[in-house]
Amino acid sequence: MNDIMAVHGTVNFTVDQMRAIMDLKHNIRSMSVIAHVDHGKTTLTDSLVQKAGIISSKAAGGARYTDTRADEAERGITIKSTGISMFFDYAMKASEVGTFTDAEKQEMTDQMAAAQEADKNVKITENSYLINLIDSPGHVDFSSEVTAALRVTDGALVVVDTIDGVCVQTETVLRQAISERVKPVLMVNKVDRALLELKLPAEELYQAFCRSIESVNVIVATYNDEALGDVQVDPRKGTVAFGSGLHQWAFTLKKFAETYGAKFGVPTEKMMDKLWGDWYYDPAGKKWTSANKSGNLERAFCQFIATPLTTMFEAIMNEKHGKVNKMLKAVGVELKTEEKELTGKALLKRVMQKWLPAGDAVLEMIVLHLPSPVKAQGYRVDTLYEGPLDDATATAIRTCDTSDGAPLCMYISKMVPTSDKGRFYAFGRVFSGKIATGQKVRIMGPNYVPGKKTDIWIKNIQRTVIMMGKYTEQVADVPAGNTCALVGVDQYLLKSGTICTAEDAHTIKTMKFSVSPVVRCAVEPKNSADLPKLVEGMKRLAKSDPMVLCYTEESGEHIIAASGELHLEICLQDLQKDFMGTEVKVSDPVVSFRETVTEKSATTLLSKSPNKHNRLFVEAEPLSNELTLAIDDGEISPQADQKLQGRKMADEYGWDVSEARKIWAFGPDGTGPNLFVDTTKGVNYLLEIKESVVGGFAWGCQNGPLCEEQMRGCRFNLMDVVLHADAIHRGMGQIMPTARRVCFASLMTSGPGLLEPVYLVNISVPQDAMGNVYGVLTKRRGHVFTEEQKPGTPQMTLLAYLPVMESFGFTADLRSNTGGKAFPQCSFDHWEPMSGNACEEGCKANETVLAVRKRKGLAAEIPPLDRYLDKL
Amino acid sequence: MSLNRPSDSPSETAVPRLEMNDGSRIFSSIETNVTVSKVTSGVSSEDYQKCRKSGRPEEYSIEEYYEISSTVKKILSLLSSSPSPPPYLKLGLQFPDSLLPDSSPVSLLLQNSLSSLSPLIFILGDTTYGECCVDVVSGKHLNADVIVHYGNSCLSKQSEIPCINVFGRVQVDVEDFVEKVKGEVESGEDVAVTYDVRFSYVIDEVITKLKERVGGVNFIKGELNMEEGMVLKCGEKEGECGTLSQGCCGSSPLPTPPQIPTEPESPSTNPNIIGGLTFPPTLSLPSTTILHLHSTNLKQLTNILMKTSSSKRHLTYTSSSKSLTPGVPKFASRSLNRRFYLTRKLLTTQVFGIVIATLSVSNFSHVVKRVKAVIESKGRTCYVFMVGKVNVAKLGNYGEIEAFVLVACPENSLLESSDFHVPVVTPWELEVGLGVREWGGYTVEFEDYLKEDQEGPSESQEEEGDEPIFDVVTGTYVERIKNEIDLTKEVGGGQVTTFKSEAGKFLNSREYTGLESNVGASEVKKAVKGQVGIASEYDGKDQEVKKSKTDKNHYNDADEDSDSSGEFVLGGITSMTMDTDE
Repeated sequence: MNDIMAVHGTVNFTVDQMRAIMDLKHNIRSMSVIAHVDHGKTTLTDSLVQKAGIISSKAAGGARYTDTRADEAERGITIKSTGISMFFDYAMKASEVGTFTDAEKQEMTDQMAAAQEADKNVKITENSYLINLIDSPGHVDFSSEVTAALRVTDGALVVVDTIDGVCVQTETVLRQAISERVKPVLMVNKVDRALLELKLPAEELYQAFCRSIESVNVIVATYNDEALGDVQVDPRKGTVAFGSGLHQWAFTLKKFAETYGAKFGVPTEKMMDKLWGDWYYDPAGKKWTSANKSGNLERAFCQFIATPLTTMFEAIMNEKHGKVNKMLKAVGVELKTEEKELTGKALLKRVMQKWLPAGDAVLEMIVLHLPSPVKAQGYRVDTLYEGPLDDATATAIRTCDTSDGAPLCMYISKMVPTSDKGRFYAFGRVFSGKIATGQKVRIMGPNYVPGKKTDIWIKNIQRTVIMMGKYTEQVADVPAGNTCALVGVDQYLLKSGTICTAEDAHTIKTMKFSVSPVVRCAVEPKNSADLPKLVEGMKRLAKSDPMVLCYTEESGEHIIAASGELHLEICLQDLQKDFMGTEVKVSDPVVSFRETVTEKSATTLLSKSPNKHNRLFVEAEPLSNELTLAIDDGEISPQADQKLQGRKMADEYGWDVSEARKIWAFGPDGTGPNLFVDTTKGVNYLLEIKESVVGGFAWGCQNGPLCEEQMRGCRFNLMDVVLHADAIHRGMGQIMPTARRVCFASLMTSGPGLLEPVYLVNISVPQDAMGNVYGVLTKRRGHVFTEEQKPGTPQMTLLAYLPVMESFGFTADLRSNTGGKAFPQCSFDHWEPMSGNACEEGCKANETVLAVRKRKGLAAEIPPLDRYLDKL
Repeated sequence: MSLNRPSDSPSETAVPRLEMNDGSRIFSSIETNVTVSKVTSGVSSEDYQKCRKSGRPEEYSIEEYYEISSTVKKILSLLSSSPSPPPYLKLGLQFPDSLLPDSSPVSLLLQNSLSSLSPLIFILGDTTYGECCVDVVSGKHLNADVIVHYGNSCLSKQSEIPCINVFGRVQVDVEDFVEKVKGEVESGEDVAVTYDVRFSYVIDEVITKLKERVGGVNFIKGELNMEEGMVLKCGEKEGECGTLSQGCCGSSPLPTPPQIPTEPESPSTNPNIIGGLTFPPTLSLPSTTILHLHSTNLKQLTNILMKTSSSKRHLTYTSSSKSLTPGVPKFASRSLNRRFYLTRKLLTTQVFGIVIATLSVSNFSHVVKRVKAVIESKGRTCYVFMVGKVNVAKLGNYGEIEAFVLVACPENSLLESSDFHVPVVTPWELEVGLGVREWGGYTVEFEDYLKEDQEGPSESQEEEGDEPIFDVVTGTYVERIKNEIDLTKEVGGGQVTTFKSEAGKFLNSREYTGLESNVGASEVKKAVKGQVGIASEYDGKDQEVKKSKTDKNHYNDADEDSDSSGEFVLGGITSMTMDTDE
């Protein structure tokens, strides 16, 4: 039948079945699993994989099936998000399943599921579901993988550790999910830890659950998007599950409500309501009350759910066999003979797996509370599609149209390396139409502009495949609402892109990442003959990761830029092992700086052209911080209408209107945060040299005089110009280098300074270890600016600034100093001036400039001023 | 200091009269009148040292350093072997700036020694492109029969004027060198010995000593590739080279009429040229150690290191500090990285400029031709420039050029280009950048560049799809620059293409398009005649009369004498001035 069957033998579905269900767009759930690092996403995913029969129940919980890479297994963290498509059929009979034990279990779960589904108030046309699941990494360094995963899914399973609660990264990914209009459901994980390690009593367990749910809801409320509807999670609605991924058990209130409902003969919905919140059952009065007046009533949740759990745990762990047997009978779990031999945690795991199978609870949430593609695309199209929302493609996306004539639209969110070196699967989501092997499609890169001929290719799709973790399965076509991978597209797209058929189709919006590549290092092959190999390797690396940047600096250094130290480490490892095949020399981490001015020029600076016939007079002054940021954000831009912008600059940044209208250029790249302003009056031929001057300015901004770093926040005022009367003597070759020199001269005489990038560090740490955190930060020139306590916990959240230059090894340092209690998360925040005049010895700025010059192989000293400055 | 004649002795006959056609070219038709005076007294070196400090090391005398006697012999042998010796000798002496202070004594000494030939000696100072190359242009202006080139040389071939290279000498402690090398090399190794040409006077001794003292190591000497080994042949014939001088070498027979060869000179074998020195073609770099005897010529060292980056290991002995350093210095690998970066930049370059910065290296015209062909075959545009000495301001004048290809001698090929606003690359790098050849075996020599052509160009082995290429400069995909013109079939049966001109595109993008023409913005008025004459003589009446005239010519104002010289004035004015007289 297929590879999977051949390998595992026990899979509950065939590729044909999967392909068939792909057409039932109401029965598809595309979802990602997101959470803070180490909160148990991959382990929990195993429970679904196991339920689908891909791995055995014994292995589940430790298999980490979706960690497909060797280093993921080694480090025990997920690095790449991995897609897996699974088919669940509740009506499926046990006879289809392979081994006996599995069959037995499967039968049980299937029957239960089928029974559950039978009286659903949700309309389900068939009992079969296709789950396209993406397991994402939790470490902040790999946030880009999460972004890519969220883009192609409609729902998110948010996993939160009962004990740690909602952490920094939980918030980040949840915020991203909501901004992508992805609906969340919550899984409170690691309840086993709370019970076994902390031995929390029932009420405290309830409080811990409450806190997690509330924190999630606070975030959801903060970033609420009305189009998404009410996405607050609530156990009573069934959007929260509790359990343990490691032991493969989980439950929703529904599970217990059904049990008790059947037992007491009350409706399940009513029972569910009472099982959460301030509800108490007064056995004496035989009634429910929301006020625990006497103080000796037990909360319904505790009484009916938490206490049975704790009792079961206690009985098994303390080996009270008699009690265990009684309880097993009560909850209807039967153990086989050999399972009865088990003791301790092994027995606990087996019992809980049978009593409250995690796969069922999670599946129930996914099926009932996450939207189908049809539902989701109805509200997601607005944030996805670049073009007009009423064109054919947009309409097809909105309705998830899979009919034969529907225009195709697919978004490629990432590239997955194949076993064939250098080739990639283009992984993504079909939003409308059908994508088929051999189909002729329009492949559009991120820079495609409708109507233009750039960044677009019309090609045939070589193959369409569905991703199954480590394996792929070829199918003839894939209809809208599903994720799949394409062969033969990778050479046209670097990282992401859109595939369409309609001539007038626009692209799907490019993904916005929550992190930026700030940690960089230079790589160099051991033998320079390998340079082309390195370039090829860098290309493959750039493809394989949504975030990493691979480029070359002016000095010829090959730079790999990643979002964090761990990310960089993984990238370098991939580059050497998989993409290049040889080792490279890796430099120490490289930080980029910015050159700037700190004061207005005291005098007007002059530079003469090489033929001495032309003179440019310039003064420099710093731009205000606000204006620099506004230019960064594109609020002030060279494209804007000069008159309107002039007014705006006058009103908001205190500029002279006429000067603001005479901004000649932004630099570098024509958009950067440096300005060249013409403040001359009545100079002949001025317009003629404008381009040359602007060229020199742009060139100068790109590589400043101090250490060839970009300039930032500098304003150059052209004060006066003397030009030779003959056009031939004021050509570009005369003016351009002069403009550059005069910019350099004025930068160097106007309090030259260096800006360094600074991280905003979010550290969560228990109160007792806070002192050590302060110590580590101070040693590294960092400082804390807010301190906040998490309610109900001894956990503190510290916000601090830390120079990027000092951040290397910070995480490790912090861990070792706090015994692993502090968890930092860094993200780039702003540029900060370093102390001192960069041209004067003995200050930090000057030291740094010299160090950068050394690294770049420039002359050891800052060039003397007279190289740029001329005398009258 | 262009023509040096002895002035400190009384001349017995009239001073030779020279005629120049345009101030630069000398006619040699008056040779009968020329008698050259004899230098009666020896040259006192103190006189000259007073003038300026020469670059010549103190320990060498002028005679020794400039190889006067062997130069004379060489010239004589050249002349005698020539089928039609010139009636009298025109000798060009080319000095690098550092040795110019010695030019006077050297020329006097030569004058003395060659008096039988009644030579005219010229000193060539300021060279057109680089001190390392023979200044063929100046030589031709002088119509020189022989040029003696002093100082460092890039050893590139030229075929225009016979030339004798005198490299000069730098001291080296041979014993120390041999000892240090002995400690580093392993037995059984192949060691290619490269050296600064100023060591060529001692290199045979070095090699012999190395072979004697360091057993089991195969030392291969880099030969001076002067006109297919003319050095040794002439040396053997005259029995001198072994004893007298190895420094004075290379020459070629007197000119067969100088002409640019129509075909590149194809070396029958493919010798390895490293830093200007020739090694046997059997030399395999990856298994060879490069041992370089270094003085001060960093350009040569860079060339050697870049070319041999794939060799087993490097040893560099610096004569001044007497140190032997293993490994490749940081600057060389940086330089390679930087050059590689430049080649990558070419990927997206549309308009190239070819800058010719040598006229002496043979084959340069073939290189230019080939570079042009390569650029055009890749669908790019190119223009050829000749700007004399290359500098930033000159190249900066061409805003539309996105990259320059520099055709120059090996030692001037690697411009430190961070001052240029666009990449300046070598022909070889160009081909790497455009994907015609693979990176690896870096070279700046024209021989290598053209040679590989004959092996069959590796062009278009990769199949040219339309998929984008990864641009490592920016780290993004860029579209290939397409070679073919986009023809669109029209309904009528014809084909239509949009006219493509790179220069036009650039001009379109320029902001400044000339003086402001406020077309449509200002009101249209009939042209009116202005006032004429000196301002003090303007009067109101005049205006009215002029207004009645239809004459539009108001350029010929202020012409006071126009009444008497009607023929100088354009039509209509005559009547005007008459009005004024009334």
